[in-house]
Amino acid sequence: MKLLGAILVVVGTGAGGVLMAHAYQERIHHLEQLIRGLNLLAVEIGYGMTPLEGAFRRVAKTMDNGMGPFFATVTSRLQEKGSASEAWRSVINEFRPKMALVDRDWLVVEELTEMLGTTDQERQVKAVRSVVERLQERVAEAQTKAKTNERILRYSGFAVGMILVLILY
Amino acid sequence: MRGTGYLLVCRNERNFIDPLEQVLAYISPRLREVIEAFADLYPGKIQEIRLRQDRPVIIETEKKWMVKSDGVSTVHPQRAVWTQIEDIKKTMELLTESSIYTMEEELRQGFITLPGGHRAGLAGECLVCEGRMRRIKTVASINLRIAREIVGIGRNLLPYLWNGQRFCRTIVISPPRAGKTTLLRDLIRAVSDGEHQGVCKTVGLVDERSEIAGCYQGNPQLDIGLHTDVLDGCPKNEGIYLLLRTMSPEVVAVDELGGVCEAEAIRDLLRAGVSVLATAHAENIDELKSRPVLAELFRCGNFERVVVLSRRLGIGTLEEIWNEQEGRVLMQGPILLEGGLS
Repeated sequence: MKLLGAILVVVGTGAGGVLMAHAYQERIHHLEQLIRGLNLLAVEIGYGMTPLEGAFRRVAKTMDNGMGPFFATVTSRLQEKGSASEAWRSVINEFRPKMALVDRDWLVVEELTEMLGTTDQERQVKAVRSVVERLQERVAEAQTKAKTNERILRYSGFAVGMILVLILY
Repeated sequence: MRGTGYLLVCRNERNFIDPLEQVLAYISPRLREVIEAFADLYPGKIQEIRLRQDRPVIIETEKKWMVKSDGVSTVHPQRAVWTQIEDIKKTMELLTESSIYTMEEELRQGFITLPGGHRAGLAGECLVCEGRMRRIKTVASINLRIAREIVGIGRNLLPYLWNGQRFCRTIVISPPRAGKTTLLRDLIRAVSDGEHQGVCKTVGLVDERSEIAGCYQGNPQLDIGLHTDVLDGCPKNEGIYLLLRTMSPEVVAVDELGGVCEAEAIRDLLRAGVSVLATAHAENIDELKSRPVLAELFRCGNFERVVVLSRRLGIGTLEEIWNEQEGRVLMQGPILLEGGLS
């Protein structure tokens, strides 16, 4: 019985560590998806001259479950509110707790709020590309962090479990 | 479609869309409420709504009004509702579907056409390149002009504009905002639908500023008759030749004649045996003939009938119908046309 308890403690804390490490990968995945979506948005604006609502709809269709709902919600909010800035802001607030991005990532995403749809084509594309570049920096930073912290978190989960077992015994 | 949700609400059981409601859908919600309250006090009277940044909202009926937040008019600017920069921004977002970059041509021309043929005129800081205006960079004034469709307003004029089975070459003249475009639209409809002795004519309409047919994505939103083809947003002179080559019109209609190229196109049109229905800005026939381009058209006998409108008894006052060929008045006003706004 004691042995079973010890195994459960080690497996539980180990799984916790693995999950925490996974959040790093999820953040990278979300950032990369966001970059892909924004690149597509720039193409829709720059080459297709597609109005924002249609552009976001097309972007949403090409995304997976990670960022797809984010872009789809922007589309529906645009229909409801008729204002890109309000739609973008409200969707960021709604998705902030649901996604793996950290506050500093959201700060970059928020930079688009006042720009979306309010300038000419050239400046729109420039603004989106600039956010994309900043997000790429965030991806690089996230990857570095993941490299250093992921392994530590995974091992420390199990290590903490074992320490707990030793203390309890 | 722009503002679809709101427009659906505007439709009543008889599928009628209130023109004012159509326009209100594009105004910032804060100001919309005020204008709605004013409209309740003056139903069907609003012609234009002017939003100027950091100045009071002006609503134009026959007069110009400033309004308080409850919709009641006031003569004190301090008590009136003012247009804030956020109102201009929000209204522009609604007018452009939050996609200003898709409206660069409209921003160059200085107006945006809305579904229903309404027009938002724009003014503000301009972007100039090599001495030429590229577009309006920062919008500070918006003038929302409500297009009113008055079916039947030209009915009483029809007998004077026909010569047997042939529609006479006709020009409608008036100063601005006297009902010229409304009358032109109804005459197009009447000629197209054969309201006079059942003779339907194929009409080609060059609607350069989308005001006559009120096209949205090329589809006419206003009644311009069953036998009318529309070239929407096309320059008049090019449109006239295009229609002539492709659509075999019997009558070509254009709004606001005045350019040299347009006059040349009209002459070619008449040489091809096609009749014309046009409008021009002028107080009276003498003033019309003092404009070089139009005077030249008249000298060659290109127009047979001149319809003169004014605002003497209200918008849509007929002053006279002039027979240019015989040099006599066919109908003498002032008469407020049926459906005119007294």
